[in-house]
Amino acid sequence: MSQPKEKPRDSFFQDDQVQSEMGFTSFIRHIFPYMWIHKPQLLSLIVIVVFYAIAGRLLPILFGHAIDEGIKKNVLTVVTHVALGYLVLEIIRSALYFGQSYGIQKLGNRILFEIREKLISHVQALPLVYFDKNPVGRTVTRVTNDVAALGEMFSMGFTAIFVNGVEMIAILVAMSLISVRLTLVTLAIAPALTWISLRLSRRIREVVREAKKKLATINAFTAESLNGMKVLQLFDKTRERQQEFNRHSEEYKSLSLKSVKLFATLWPILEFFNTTTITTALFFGGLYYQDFGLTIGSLSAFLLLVQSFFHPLRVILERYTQFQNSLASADRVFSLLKECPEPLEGEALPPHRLRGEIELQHLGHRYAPANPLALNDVNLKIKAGESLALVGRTGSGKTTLISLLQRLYSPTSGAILVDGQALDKVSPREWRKRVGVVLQDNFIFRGTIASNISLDNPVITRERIEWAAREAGCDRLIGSRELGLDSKVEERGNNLSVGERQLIAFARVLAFDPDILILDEATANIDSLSEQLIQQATERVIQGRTSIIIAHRLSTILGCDRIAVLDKGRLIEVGSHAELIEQQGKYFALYQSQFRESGGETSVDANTPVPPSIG
Amino acid sequence: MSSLPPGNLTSSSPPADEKLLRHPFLYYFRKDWKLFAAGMVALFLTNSFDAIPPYLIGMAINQIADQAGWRSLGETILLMIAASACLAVCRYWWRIFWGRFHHGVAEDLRNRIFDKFLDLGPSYYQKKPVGELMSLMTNDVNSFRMAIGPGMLILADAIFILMIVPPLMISLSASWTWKTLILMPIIPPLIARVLKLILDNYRKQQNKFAEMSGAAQEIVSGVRIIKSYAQELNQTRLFNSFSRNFEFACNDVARVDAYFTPVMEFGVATGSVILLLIGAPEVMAGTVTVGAFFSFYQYIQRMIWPMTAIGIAFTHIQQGRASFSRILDLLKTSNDVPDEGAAQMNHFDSLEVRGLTFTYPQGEQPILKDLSFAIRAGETIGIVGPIGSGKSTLVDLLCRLYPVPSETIYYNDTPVEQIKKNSLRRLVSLVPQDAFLFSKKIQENIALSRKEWTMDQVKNMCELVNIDDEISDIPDTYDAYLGERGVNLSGGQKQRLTIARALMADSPIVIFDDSLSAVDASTEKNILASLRNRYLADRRKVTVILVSHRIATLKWADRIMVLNDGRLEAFASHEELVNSNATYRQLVELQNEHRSHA
Repeated sequence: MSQPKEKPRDSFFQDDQVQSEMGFTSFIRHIFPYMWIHKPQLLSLIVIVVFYAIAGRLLPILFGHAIDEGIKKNVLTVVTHVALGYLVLEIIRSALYFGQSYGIQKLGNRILFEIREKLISHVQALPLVYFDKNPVGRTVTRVTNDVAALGEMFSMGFTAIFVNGVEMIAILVAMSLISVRLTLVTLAIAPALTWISLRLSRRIREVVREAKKKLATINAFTAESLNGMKVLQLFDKTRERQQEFNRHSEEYKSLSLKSVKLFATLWPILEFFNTTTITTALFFGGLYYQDFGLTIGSLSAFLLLVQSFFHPLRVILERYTQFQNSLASADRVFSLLKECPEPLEGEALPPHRLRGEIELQHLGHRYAPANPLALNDVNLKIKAGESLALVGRTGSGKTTLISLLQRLYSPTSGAILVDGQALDKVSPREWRKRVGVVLQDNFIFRGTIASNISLDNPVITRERIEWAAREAGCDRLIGSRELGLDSKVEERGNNLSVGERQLIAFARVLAFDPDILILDEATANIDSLSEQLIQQATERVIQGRTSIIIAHRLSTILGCDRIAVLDKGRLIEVGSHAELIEQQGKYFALYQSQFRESGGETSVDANTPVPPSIG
Repeated sequence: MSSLPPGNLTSSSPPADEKLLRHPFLYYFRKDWKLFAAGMVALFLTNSFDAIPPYLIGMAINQIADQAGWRSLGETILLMIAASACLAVCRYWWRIFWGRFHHGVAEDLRNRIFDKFLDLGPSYYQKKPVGELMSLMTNDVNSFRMAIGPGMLILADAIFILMIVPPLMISLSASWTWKTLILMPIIPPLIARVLKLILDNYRKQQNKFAEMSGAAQEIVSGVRIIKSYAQELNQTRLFNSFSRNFEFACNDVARVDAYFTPVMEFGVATGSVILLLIGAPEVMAGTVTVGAFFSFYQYIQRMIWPMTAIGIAFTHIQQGRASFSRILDLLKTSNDVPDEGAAQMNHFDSLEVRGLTFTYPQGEQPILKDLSFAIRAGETIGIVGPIGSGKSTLVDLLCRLYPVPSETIYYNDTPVEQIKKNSLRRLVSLVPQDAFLFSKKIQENIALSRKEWTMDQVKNMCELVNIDDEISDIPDTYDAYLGERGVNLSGGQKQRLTIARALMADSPIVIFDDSLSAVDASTEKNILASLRNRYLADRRKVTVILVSHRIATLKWADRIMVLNDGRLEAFASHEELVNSNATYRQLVELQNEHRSHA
């Protein structure tokens, strides 16, 4: 039903990037525990990063050394040694680079795997209320894309900043080792320029985010147009749609150009920074190098170091921009992990088979505080082994009642007792193992028919699957397919009919052998042969189990021991078919309007014998 | 006679430019040649100015070594600052010019693709999944942009640097130049090779990601069943196997990626070592200055980028070409339902189908077999038949969504292919089987077919289909947005809105393709009653075609078509069919037996 969510915004294709609440430190705090699990790898990576940075700084120093000790003093052997050392150092540095780059990403991928594992089990532990509020796509995106974005942030952002930061420190240290005073003079304007660049980077970040949003809009707009192409063409709306698209496209271009412009401004600023530092170093170094205790060689090394200062700074600024943009992803991932899971602890059920006596006491439920009562003060005793048909119009509370019985929701008021034990104290997982469910439209997983019967549960043997399929009347369904039980089933069971999906669900119930059965009969058009098979399967599964059935077909209703009539959330009539017909109440009216008006042939009166086959 | 609403202009995409299709790069270079040329000039100047500082630094080092005094050193430094300022200006402008150029290309290409999308008919969409087409718009456009923008740019950049830096190096020392650069040509193919590996692995990674997403999608969609059967741990294990495959694929990418930088720096490292070995003796001998030695060292470092750039550029361009060939396939596809007719239909008298046999363009078996019938204006027609009997195909053909065999469908004795498309659209309103609504306001969705409309008309139509009350319950009522971030409607509500949308078009023919399947029986009854009493009462000549499974709905029609395996089995009134047609009678009996209770 219509459930207005948040206030709609101007454009409907906005990316659901919430303004990130998460800052840099908060991100570190969240991600750190995941990293700390891998302490040995983490620490050895840090060591590699540090050595890599040092190795890179040794190169210009070696070059300076060659000038001073070799060239200036005319000692060729020193130059040869330096050249060899240079070669060896480069090889070591390449190896360190490889180790660092691969190691960090590998560690990152492992951490992401662990986060995904945690997320998927967390998601499955969330109460159904969560899934009512959040579309499937959004949740899936959290587990997949957002974690991937988090990973990119980890390897491209966080570690790049760390690696380049270490490199900058190494450069500073190397420069200071050559001359502290010259370093101070050279980098005097660095803080001011860094500040300006940071400001600019922040502006870039905003524009890039805008552009990304616009791109998401374009993509959503295109996807929607493709999905609704038939409607657009039927209503001759293509021209308007094209104009709208061109507008989005144009806006995206101008946003992209804005970011191009900002980047085009940022780089010259950094370049200017580069030139200033080099010229300062040249000028002061050149004039006073002897006062600073420098030689031509060490001055050359210094100049090379100053020039390399530019690169890591650029990377840090660049990555910082991306990093900030992906914080939103991290925020979404961690806030999903903070969603409260449904409590799964509770009393155990007796290990033996439940008798299946169910008592509803003043049961009431509403889905949200603002909603009306979906179920209102329902009192009912269902005897062990009894089959009960739930009858009522759409919205009368039948589905709510079975959802409460499955403990998919906690009732707002009242209680459910099973064999005298209060259900809300029992562990929901324990309880659900004892309840089998066949729904109107049964969710079918991608895989095979067999995997859908066993739900990939290794405990259920192949023999059991075969038996269950046979018992549920899947013979025709399986026989008509080349691979039989191992036939592929497409996403959402697209290559199966509603009836076939229901038969598989029956087989599933039989394979799991629950103590209690809940069945929501299909209303959709099912061909008559499937209809018959389903009828037989129903008879088979309700045998010897307490069964609660939302019944749509007269034959099913007649086959149940008792009928409970719901109306606007209240239980208004309970009794056998004959009793209720005699009462001439709501059931009688329903029966009259739904079964008698159209046909004539099927007019059954109170004396119609109950088919002996069921119940 | 029903009057028709004023029509919109037909959308027609400009014919795909022959030049674009043959030489996409040249086409865009020529199209925006001013930007392209300006960008090239600015880039060349940038590279020239960029080559000056190492030379000047070398000079400065000589001046320092010779104790030339602060004046000449100052001059050199001022020159450096001047060069750097020019560099900054040029660098700014080439980024601007190039940015405009390739983002302009992307925009043009996006619009062309979207235009084509709008032009192509359902038979194209039947064979192409939406995801594949989306990737044209997202990945392929971007990859072509990357080729013609950054790809071409860095190629030009590399060429310019190769034009500028080696001559400068030669001016310092010709023999050093060839000795130090001798290994450089190995780098571009190596880089290209590494990049290819990266891309191959990346593609594998994408596939694994898609599989993993699929697994997550299954779990989240099926969470109710998983919970019901307490299968959480099992499903997590299943997901983990996909997740682990993805992790391994990511590691493969990371490993190859880690080769990239060492390969890139290989040439420079060896060049530097060679320089130390061969250059130092000459400096000691005094034939070359320390400053020149230093400059040369720096120029070698400058050679890293062009060598890498050539490798990168070729990869980008290669990918761009592959992407463009995919885009080309789309742009070359022509609509199989061309809008070549000129006839305008201002009213509707009769519809006639003569000997219609139809096979889908990519199908083998005919779906409709030798169908012939005639309908007069003002009739209400029912269509019934088992799944796959051709009901939807027939109504789609009546709207000419697929290529109709010539001279088989006639409106007012004019073959449908001779009718101008937008005129046909105004003649027939179809409510398709799947209720599709746009992420727009409710009122905009309903008024989709109209240019001018009033709120009263919209409300009227909604009352007619029994949804006005439900819309009024939504906080923003008719202003509420639909879609994922808006109001979520039930299947039945959506269907009713699509009916209101079709009625709003005020067409002389309205076709309902099983459009009430998700609405419960009593609501359906109400809708049909108000349709008859309120809508059709004012529009006596409006023709209604109802595709349905429900006998209660079909009974409402003047005549009912029974389709079976693509053939017209019978076409008569309900009573006649009950008496004469076995298929129909069976259906009646079946539905009476299993009469829905809820």
